[in-house]
Amino acid sequence: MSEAPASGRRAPLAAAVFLAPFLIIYTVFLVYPLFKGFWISLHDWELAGGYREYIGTLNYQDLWTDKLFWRTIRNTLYFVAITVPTMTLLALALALAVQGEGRVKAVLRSVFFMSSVFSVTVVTLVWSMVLSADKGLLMPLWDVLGTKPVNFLGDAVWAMPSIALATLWWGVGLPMALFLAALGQIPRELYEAAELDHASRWTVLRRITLPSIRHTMLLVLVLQIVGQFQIFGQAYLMTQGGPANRTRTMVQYIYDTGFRDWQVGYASAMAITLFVLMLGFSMLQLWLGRRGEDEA
Amino acid sequence: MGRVTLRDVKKTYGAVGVIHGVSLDISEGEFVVFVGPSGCGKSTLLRMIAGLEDVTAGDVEIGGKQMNDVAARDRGVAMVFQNYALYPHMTVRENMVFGLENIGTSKTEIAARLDRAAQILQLEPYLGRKPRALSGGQRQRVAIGRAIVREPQVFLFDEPLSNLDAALRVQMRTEIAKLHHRLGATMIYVTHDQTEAMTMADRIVVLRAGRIEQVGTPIELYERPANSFVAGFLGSPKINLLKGRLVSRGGTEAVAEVAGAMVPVRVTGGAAGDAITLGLRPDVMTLGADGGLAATVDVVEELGNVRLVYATLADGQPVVAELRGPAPLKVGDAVRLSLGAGQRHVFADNSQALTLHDGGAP
Repeated sequence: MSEAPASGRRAPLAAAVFLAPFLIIYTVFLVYPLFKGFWISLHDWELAGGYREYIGTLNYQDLWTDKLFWRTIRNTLYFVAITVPTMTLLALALALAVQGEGRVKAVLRSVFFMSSVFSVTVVTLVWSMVLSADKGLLMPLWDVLGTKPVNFLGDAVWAMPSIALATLWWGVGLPMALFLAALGQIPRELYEAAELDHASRWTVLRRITLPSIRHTMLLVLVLQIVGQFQIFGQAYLMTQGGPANRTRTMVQYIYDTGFRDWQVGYASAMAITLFVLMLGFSMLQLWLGRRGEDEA
Repeated sequence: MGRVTLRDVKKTYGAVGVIHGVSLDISEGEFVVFVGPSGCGKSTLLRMIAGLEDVTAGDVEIGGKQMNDVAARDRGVAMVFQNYALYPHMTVRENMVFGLENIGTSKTEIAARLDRAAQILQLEPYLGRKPRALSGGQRQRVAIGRAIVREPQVFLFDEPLSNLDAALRVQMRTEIAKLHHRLGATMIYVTHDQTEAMTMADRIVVLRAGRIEQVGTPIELYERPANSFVAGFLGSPKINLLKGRLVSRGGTEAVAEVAGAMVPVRVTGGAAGDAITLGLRPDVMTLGADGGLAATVDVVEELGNVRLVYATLADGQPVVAELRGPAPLKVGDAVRLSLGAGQRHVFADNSQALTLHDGGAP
C-alpha cells in the first residue's frame, strides 16, 4: 500500500473545516426545520401545552376540503401574477432609464432604491393614507371629477391591486439594482458597434441588451416568485385580509391558524404546501430559462 | 468618396486637452496608420472620425462633407474594435449581416455580400457559430468581415491586433494589408506597434501628446525623422540617441563630439558649442580596430544572421550595435564601434532635426 502524500490527505479535511460553519448553520436552521415542519404537519399539534397526536395525512386531507385555504391560494396566485411580471418589467424599465452617467440619473437611482429601506409598517401606513377613502391623497381628484371617492382598500375588486401597487413601490429597488449591475457589465463597444450598424433603439434593446442580461432576468424572476408568494405584511396591515377574505393570503392564513388558533400541525401542512408551490414555480422558471438558452 | 480631411481638430474633456489641433488630409484608397505611445490621442482621433467622440473644435470631413454633427451611423464608416465587440448572442452570420438588416438591404444582396466577405476571410465553416466558440484570430476576422459587408467609405481599425499572440499578429497583419489591396478602400489604422505601422502603412502619422509629430511614408520617417521622438519611435532595434555637442561647423560640414570621439556630420544649422543629440541606427555601426566610439560590451544577443551588441560608451551612455558577420565578443570586452556609410542624424537641443540629407532640406 502506498501512502498518499500528506497534503493530499489534508486537503479534504481543510475543505471540510472551511465548509463546516456553513453546513452547521444550514442544517440547524434550514434542513432540520424543514423536516421538523413536515413532521409536525403529520400531527394534531397544539402551540402550547403538550397535546400532540400523530394523525398521518389527515391535515392534508382537511386542507383539500378547506374552502378558505383554496381561497387563500387563489388570492396568493393572483397577487403573484400581478406583481412578478409588473415588478420585473418596472425594475427593468427604471434601470434602463436611470443607468449611465449624469447627476440627475444618480439622484434618481438613489430615490428609486430608497423606498426599499422602509419597513413594511411604514410602507403600508403611507399607502393606506394615500388610498384612504375619506382623507386620502386622491381626494382632490375625486372632487374634480365630482364622483364619490373609491374606497380602494375596502373594495372587493380594488383591494388586491392596491396592495400590489404598494408592494411594487416598496420592492422595485432591489431588482432595479440587480438590473443596473447587469447593464453595467455590457461592454460599451457593443453599443458603439450597434450604432455604426444602424441599429434602432428598439433593435439594440431586443438584440443586444436583453440577451446580455437574461441571467439577471431569470434571477430577478425567481427571487420575485419566492418573495411574492410569501406576501403577508402588506395585506395583514392594509386590509387584514378583507374585504370578505379577498386579500387573505396563504401566509396570513398560516399565521392565523398557527399563532391565533394554536393549530400548529394544520398550519405546518399549509406551509409545506406553500413551499412545494414556490419550489415548483421557481423550477419551472429556471427550466424555461435554461431551455431558452439552448435555443439561443 | 473615401477622402478624410481633418482641419485643426481639437478635443478637450473639461479642462483637459487631449487633441491639440490636428490637421491631416487622407486621400481615397490610402492606408494611413496613426502610431504613438499610450495616451497620445490616436484612438481618440480615430473615434472622432468615427463619430463616437464629439469634436470640440475644428472640422472632420469625410468624402468632402463636413461630419462634425453627423451621427456615427450616417458617416459611412465601419470600425474594427480592439476587443472585436462582436455581439455575443448572435452567430457569426448574424453578426456580419446585422448592419445590413438594419438598413433594410434586400435578402439577395445581403446573401451575396455575406458570401463574398466570408470567402475573402475564409469564414465559411464558422458562419453558424457563436463568437465564444471561435479563436482570437477567427473573432478578429469576423470583426473585419462585419466591416467589409457594409462596404463603407472608410475602414477604421482601433488596435485590432493587440489581443492576438505574436504569430497570429504577423499573419493578420499581412491579411489586412492584402485586404487593403483587394478592396482599395480608405483605411485608417491605429496602433502603438511601430512594426505594424512600418509594414502596413502607405503613410504613417506619428502622434505624441495630442499633436502630430510627423507625417510621411514609412521610409521617409525612418530615413528623415523630423525630430528625435520620431527617430526613437520607428525602427527596431531602437535608434541610439547619444548626447553630445558640436565642436565646429563650417557650412554644412560639422564635427560632433560624443563620449570623447569626434564624429563628422552634415547639418543645416547649429553652432559650435551647441548641445546636440546624435542619432545612430544600430546597423550603421561596425567593429573597427581603432577610431570610432570606444565601448565596453554588456550583453551579446545572437540572432543567427546578426548579433545585437549592447555596450556602454566611455561616458556611460548605453549603445546598441547590430553587427553582421562573425565577431567573437564576450561580456566585458573593450570594442571600438566605427560608423559606416549610414545616416548620422543630428538633433538640436529642442529635439528638432538638423541633419542635412542628400536631397537638401531636413
